[in-house]
Amino acid sequence: MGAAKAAGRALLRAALVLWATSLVVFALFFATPGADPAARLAGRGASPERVAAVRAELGLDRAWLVQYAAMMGKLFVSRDLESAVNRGQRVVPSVLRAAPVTAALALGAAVLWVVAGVALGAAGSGRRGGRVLGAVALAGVSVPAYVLAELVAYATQGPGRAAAFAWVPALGAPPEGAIGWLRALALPWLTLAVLYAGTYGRVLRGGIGEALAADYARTARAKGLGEGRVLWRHALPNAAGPALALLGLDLGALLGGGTVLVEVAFGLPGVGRLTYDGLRGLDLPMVLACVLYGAAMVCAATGTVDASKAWLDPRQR
Amino acid sequence: MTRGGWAGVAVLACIVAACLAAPWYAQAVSGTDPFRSNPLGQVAGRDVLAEHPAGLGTLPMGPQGWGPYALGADGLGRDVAARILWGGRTSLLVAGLATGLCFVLGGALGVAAGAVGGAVDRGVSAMLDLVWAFPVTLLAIALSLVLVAGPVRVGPLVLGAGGVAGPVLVLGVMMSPYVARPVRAAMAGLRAADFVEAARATGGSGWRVVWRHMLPQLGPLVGGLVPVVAATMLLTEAALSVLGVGVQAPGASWGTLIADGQDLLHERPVAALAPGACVVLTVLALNMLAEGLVRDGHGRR
Amino acid sequence: MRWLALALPLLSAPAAWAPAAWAQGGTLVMLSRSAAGTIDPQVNYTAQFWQVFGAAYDGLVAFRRVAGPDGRRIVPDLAEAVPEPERGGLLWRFRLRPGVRFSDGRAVRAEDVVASFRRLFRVGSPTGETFYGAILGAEACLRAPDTCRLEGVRIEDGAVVIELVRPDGELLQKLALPHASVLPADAPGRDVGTAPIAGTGPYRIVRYDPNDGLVLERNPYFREWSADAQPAGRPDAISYRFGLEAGAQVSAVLGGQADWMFDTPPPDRLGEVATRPEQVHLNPAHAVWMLPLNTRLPPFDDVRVRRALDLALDRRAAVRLFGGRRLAEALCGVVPPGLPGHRADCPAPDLLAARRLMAEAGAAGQAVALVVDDAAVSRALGTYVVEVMGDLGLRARLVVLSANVQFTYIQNTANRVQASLTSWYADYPSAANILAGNFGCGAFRQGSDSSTNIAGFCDAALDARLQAALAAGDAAGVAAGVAAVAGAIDAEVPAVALFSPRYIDVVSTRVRGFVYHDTFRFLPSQAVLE
Repeated sequence: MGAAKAAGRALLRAALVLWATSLVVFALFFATPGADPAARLAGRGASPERVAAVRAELGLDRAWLVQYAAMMGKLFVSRDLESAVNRGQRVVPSVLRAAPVTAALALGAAVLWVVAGVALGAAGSGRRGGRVLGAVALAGVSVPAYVLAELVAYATQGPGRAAAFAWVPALGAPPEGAIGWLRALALPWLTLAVLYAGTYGRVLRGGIGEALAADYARTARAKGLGEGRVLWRHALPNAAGPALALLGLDLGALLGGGTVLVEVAFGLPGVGRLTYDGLRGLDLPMVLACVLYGAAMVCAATGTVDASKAWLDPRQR
Repeated sequence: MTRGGWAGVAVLACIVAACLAAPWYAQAVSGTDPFRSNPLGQVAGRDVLAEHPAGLGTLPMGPQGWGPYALGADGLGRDVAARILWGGRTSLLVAGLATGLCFVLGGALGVAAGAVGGAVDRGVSAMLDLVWAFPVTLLAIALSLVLVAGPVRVGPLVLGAGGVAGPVLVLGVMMSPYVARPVRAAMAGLRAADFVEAARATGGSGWRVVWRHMLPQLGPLVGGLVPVVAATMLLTEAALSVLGVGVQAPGASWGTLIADGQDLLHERPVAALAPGACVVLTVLALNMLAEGLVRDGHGRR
Repeated sequence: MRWLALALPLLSAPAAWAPAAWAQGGTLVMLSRSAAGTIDPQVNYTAQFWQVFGAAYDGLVAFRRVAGPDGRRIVPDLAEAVPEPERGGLLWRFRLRPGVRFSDGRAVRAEDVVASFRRLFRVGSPTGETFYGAILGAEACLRAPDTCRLEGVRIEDGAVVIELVRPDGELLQKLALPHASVLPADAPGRDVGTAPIAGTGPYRIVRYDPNDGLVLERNPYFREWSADAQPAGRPDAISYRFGLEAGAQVSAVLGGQADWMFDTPPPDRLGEVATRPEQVHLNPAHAVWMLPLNTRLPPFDDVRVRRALDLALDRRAAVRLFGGRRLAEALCGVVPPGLPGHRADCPAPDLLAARRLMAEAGAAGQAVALVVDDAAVSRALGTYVVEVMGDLGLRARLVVLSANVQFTYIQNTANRVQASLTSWYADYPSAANILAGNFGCGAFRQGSDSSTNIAGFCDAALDARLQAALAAGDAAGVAAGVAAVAGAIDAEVPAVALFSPRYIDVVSTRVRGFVYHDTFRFLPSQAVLE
């Protein structure tokens, strides 16, 4: 199968997923009693005429297929779709401005947790001490994200923070320059990495143990390869498939706004916070833009993983 | 099974036993009703929920050691320890069922996609992407508003605001890609493995090869995923409850206890950390059990 | 070097007792979890942004910008004087102050005032009907905003005349609110969203991004014309930043990285906040937290069941769950303290009497759902109330809804909500505002998301008495009339009042001048920064 054909299929799949997601969001919104934002927008005690006028301004009085078409047009074609809560706020630029923050947060954390995960997996496949370390890391997975993030943020940015954390920028202050962002993101990266490293260590450990016991590993050892080389050249690549599949899912979810709790605790203006605020206010345009962005990230991440797997493992080509 | 595996079983059994003993604990040890708020009540001459000595806000009673309010009171003056034991019942039930559903559903999809490949694989993958990208929070908000009016019947299931069916269904389906995709990846890898090709060459039929030769190879992967997925279930259940789908006040689960405890994190951290520790303990015990089972499997082969 | 060290305290010491005028300047940093919607002063209906509008816009009259009860006094703002009404309270004649300019440099003319009142209806101000519906021509404007002419506001001999169809004892208060701000006549005839409109106050809004922040800078054309109505601003700029959670806001303010926070500190940070008494300000909110009981649905269609719940609930418990006696005052009637009609006594709960009433009504065993929002304090209060309902023999359950949906959900009669927990913060310190908004017949609308009379309580005689009280000429007459109506409403218990909250303001150590205004709360323009 040609690479172009594979890419075409992935794109088609993403388009289908996005389309279905948008329909689901729309259907859910209209199936929800009390989701109508007109009265909230019109203000406390507004007259029924005023509420009806707001509904008409937002186009909520039209058939929902018409609304769907109009909103998709405004989102993808003219790109001037406005929030239904903060009127005048365009949702596309809002998402695009928030996206780099979340991307930097998720990708940086992923690097950390993949490195930690591989180390844990390799260590745990052999010695008992490694397994204990793996169990400790697994405890990190079972910690509620918000509690961890809140405690880290308080210890490093709260009023009584230790002098050792003087380099951490002030809460809510917009970071400036590359160094500023690096400082602002260092602790959120670590926090996220703690939440995910254990998973990867655990999954890799199982696969590596399996692979080390397999025939080809024995053959390699018989050929006189050192244990380290057997691990890196044979066992790890063979065990990587499932972990890579998980990485696609986790990264996709985080890039698409799954970072929300960490963003909120550290005051980072990312997609997660935008999505969360949109959902809480039932701000349909904002929710639609954010959810579709999230879906696109999921498709991109899983698609990339699929493509890279085929490329990494010649047997599957 | 290995010794570690048995240790895991023992710890899990202790946790389950403790949760089953919740009514006894509430009556004999705690001596208070864990589902009854106590904003003005006194225990042993001390306010369970006092005005804060600094002059602003309120301060629940701190940990008292064995007896009433062993782990202190929550924001409504209820015994945290007794609520943790009661909450464990909900958590273990919901997380257990959701994890089971997740593995059955995700496992089946992953095996089918990985073993068959081609169009089936592409279809399943697209579906998994859709599920993974699904706005669960929006679904929960919508569901909670629908459930205000009363329970909803979906086929044989009855979804009520306080029932376990809603969270089990949402969590199980929502997390299924997390099982399906790695299983699919492992199956795809196995399809090309030498011993599978050998089995095929000797005339094994498709599904027989899958069943006899490929599925047993998934042991370590599933063993690794079980504690991770269970941890997610135990923690995520609270997010649904807070939105109105799942256990409702005055009921409790470990997740909702952690969520309630967050509001006391700076004054009475035990209220959030103790149920958090229960989650960690359960997950680690599950991990030991899974490891023991899988290692045992290795030994036999 | 010893002398230098000695001199240092001398150098820094005078700041503490320097006159306030000396300490102008600096940027005041304000924090909030999220933005509050449109920046249009005639549309936005939130306490959060009214606070900001007070520094950027003016009306014909204003609440005096001082702390305490004096802040309820109406003083002339863009008008030269507060007029005496003519024709029995139906005609008000305002003469404009000369020399006032908008922040774009243009002078304020009578035409701007007339156009602004018309715009109020054109853009669909939420209070168009409730506050300004008595203006001649308002009814037509409400029906057809696009062709609104509003004959009742016009220019006569260079003066602005406001003509009413019925007298309104609180018209001046309503004219002092942001919805009656005077804007340039050419301001867009629609909700401007995020694009600021020029105003007359000491600050002008220069940037607004709901995801990021709101920035106000000095209005270069502002000259102080009345220290009572619109005193000159203290800080050089005001920067309102959105996004931090309340807990992080506390950390930022106590750590000196920000000066003020909008949101209420989380319960577990109050102890920490209390250790800095000089940075904490507690002030009355003129608000009531209450449980509206649907008088049109069982079991609360029976007044005995409503009275039973009123008798059984322990207000001290509610106060404690909200954060203690310094943050809330127990309330046994719907009018908060400091306003006419406030019921000062709040008896201890009487469960026996309550059960007797329940037995008389034969309501035991009925199912009730109490709908609360998902804030921690609401859930805690709801849990307690459901328990008390259970003690009364009702089969009660708690329903938690997302905070943004709950308020409109409980209003709509189509949702058949029996009981709910809600709060009402008065637009300005007025008992009439609370009574008319929650228990007036005009505030009840069948099947609408906008029906603030959640209890569905409509007593035509009481309604007429409230209108009559408002039309009374003098303030004492209004107060007496309103107080009598409040007592009559409390006797019917359309809502069980729980407590009246106090606002808690936490400021940084560098905020020296802190002025709390009865209507606009903390006045950012008057914050003196060290």
